[in-house]
Amino acid sequence: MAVPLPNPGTRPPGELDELRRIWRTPRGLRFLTVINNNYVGVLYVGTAFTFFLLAGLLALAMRTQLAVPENDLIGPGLYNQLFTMHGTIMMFLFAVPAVEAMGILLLPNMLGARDLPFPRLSAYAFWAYAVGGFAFFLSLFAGWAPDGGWFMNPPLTTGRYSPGYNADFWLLGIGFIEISAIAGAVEIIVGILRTRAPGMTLARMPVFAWAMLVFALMIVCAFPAMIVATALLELERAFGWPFFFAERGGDPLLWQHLFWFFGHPEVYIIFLPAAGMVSMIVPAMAQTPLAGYRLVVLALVATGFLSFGLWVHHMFATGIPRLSLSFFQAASTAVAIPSGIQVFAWIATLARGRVRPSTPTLFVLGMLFIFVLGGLTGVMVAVVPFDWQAHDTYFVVAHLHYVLIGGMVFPLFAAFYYWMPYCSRNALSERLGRWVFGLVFAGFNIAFFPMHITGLIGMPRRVYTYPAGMGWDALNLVSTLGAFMLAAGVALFLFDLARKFRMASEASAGNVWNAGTLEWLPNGNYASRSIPVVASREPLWDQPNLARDVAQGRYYLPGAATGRRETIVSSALDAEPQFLLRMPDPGWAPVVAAGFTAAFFLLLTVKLLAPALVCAAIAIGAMVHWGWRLDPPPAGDVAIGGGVHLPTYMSGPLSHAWWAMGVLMLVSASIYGCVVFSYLYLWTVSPGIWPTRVPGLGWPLAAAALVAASAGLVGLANRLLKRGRVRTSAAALALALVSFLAAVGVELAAHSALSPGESAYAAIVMLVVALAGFFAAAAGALALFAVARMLNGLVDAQRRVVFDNARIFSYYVAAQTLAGIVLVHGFPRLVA
Amino acid sequence: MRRVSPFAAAALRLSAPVLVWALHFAAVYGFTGLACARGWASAVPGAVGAASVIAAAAALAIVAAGWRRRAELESWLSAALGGFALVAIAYEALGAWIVPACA
Repeated sequence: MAVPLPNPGTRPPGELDELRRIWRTPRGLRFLTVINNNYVGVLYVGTAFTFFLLAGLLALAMRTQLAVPENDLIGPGLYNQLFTMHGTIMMFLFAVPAVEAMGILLLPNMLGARDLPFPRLSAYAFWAYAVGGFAFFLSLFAGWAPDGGWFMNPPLTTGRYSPGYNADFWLLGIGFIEISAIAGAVEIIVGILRTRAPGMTLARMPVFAWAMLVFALMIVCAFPAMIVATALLELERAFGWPFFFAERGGDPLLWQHLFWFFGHPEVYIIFLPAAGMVSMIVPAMAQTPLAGYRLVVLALVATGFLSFGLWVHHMFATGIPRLSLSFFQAASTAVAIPSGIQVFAWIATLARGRVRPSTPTLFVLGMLFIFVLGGLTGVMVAVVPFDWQAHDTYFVVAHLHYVLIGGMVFPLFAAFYYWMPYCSRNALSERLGRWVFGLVFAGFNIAFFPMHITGLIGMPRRVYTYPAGMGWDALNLVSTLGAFMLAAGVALFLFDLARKFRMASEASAGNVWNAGTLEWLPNGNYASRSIPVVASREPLWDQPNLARDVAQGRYYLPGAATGRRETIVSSALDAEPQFLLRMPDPGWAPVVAAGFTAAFFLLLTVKLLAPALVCAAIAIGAMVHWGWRLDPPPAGDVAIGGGVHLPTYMSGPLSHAWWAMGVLMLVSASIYGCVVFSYLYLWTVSPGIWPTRVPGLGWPLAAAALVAASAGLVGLANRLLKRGRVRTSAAALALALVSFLAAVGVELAAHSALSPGESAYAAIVMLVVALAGFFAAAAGALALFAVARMLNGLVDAQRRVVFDNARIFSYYVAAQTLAGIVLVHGFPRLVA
Repeated sequence: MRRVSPFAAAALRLSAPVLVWALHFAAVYGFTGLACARGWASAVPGAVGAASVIAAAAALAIVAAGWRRRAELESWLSAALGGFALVAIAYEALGAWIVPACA
């Protein structure tokens, strides 16, 4: 299908060089400040893969220990640390970052954007993760590594039974991972919805982008449960707030609910992007469009939402009523349907096309075999009576590795082989690739298939050794041999990677697979030379000469219209260009902020409070410096070709910042929802500790009035700014902040009689109040930042994104605080 | 605002079936947990049944509304997710007929 060219003529000389100059990669030590998605993406993938290797080495140590019965190579204390770190690193430091990294690497080019909309945020997320992650790993060498399992169930992990730093390293040490994942999710959601090439409607969006959109939304909903769970347990460990202490009205099962409300969707958080990659690789390998595009999109979204109804299947053995378990059994078996839809779509596509027998194809076929087996055992353990038999045995170890390695690691290897020519001068070796596949596939099955049997004949998980003569000896030896074979395959991959991978953006090997999607256009750091108009799902197959025309600048934005880094922001549904977003240049601020964010969490872990606070102050200072240089003034409209003129500034609901704030508010609402759930859950299990007398009505009414006044003052500041009265508006905003802090003070005074260490009721009420204080501080920081910019002449009636950010977040926080007041004052009255 | 509204409408259409399923799931699970903790076991089957009928009707309405404009991806997706929610709601509710409430 032919699309009219917006810039059919010849481009002026020097335009491409200008584009290259603007997007060039910093050299020398300044390379660390790189923010371009091509480089951050590769660094991100590389770091995640390094953690895969490190966690793999821990697995080999465990398999060596288990090779023979009664082995004394590794003692129980170290073994506990090894399996905890293996699970934690694989899930938090490898799997989630790896798929997020693939999104950062691929999405801009796949969507026809020059970069993601918040490139410094990507760099911040990467560095916080890399610095914090390696420091976390080193805890193993100090004997401080967590040892309570990757799920960290209390009461084992409370201060009473785990008094050392080990549990704290887990609870606080992964704080930066949560921040990093959420920062990435904001970037990905806004990037997918707002920076697609003209014409790329939702119906023409690549399946990988759909998968990443669902992935990011799932992070927004699931990670907050983890944040709340870790906060509650750390509060119990550090200050004795008894959320999980049954004698004071707490309940250890609250942890399991919160953890698995995150933990089960986590499995799909890592599987869906991998499935999205497979849905890109299969059509290219079969040279035919994906069968059942709409059904595959349906499957991705359906898996995403159903995955939030499965968490109790990790708790089938905890004594929950059987009918309650049946709801989760039903949802757990139902989720097989959307997974099945995707598997059949891939098989149908392979059957319809002429399949190229390449390494990516082999890994996809391996994935189909392994993941389907893991899915089938998944349906088995979803059935309550079977789960009661298999619970905590090696059967579950086999199941979860079939799902996770089949569902995520095999697709990732397929993706490495498939997308290597996209970012490297050379493709990986096909000959060695077959060996890699053979070793990994055979090694995996030899290692993990016997574990089904070992588990069914009774071997429990997480034991550092076992007695001889139980019928487990030979099976364990075979598993260990398989694990080393799998490791040999990975080592061979590393050898090939070292031989062949040479980072290249402009001089990459290119579209060796004759794939149809936009990331295979000729590209550089600036992505494609011009931004194409998309008319189908596989534009490179359907639009003749697309690659040539794009490279010759015949589509939109063939140069740098504003003389700096920029990308087109388009409408979310139809991808109509709306404005030209000017993006930041590389800088040290995100790197410094990230390093000190990670240092803050790690120092807090070892109770070095003063240095931790210094690090937090430096991180915040770096963020202020970073934010201060953003939001350049409006520079009129610019032409991007084809007679289209776009504004260079946008505020209000169309601006990208507004959308990012929207995502942040969703995250905040999820956090708050988990706290409200915790409150109601504790009341359900311990109604006796709920008081019959609560603070008089005057307190909540005064607090609510102050919150409402604060929101009113923000509204007034908005009206004043519209009229150009910037300084008066700043004063109203500052006054709103004072009013809000006063409301939090009233709430604190109202509950001053409560001692949070005494009962779970007092603890959860104080948590609600503390959370109101935290959100007030966050909204206050945004408001102060806006006030400072207003007083420096950097905000006016038109250039007002910073003000709007503070405004909409303040409204949100006001609504949330009012809900909290109703909860802590109203609910006890209701149930008294 | 003019250009955001279609997105808001599409987002609402797409999230409606998800919300119906999630609300039903939270209601039946939450009520069963509370009822078993407070000794109201006899109320469970009726409450689960009523919640399921209401949720199923809502899901059906979403299917019908989306199917009318199925040529458009967002509407088709809304209808299909509604159908999926309907299956999940029915499947989850089945337990109330065959499993004793608070055993």
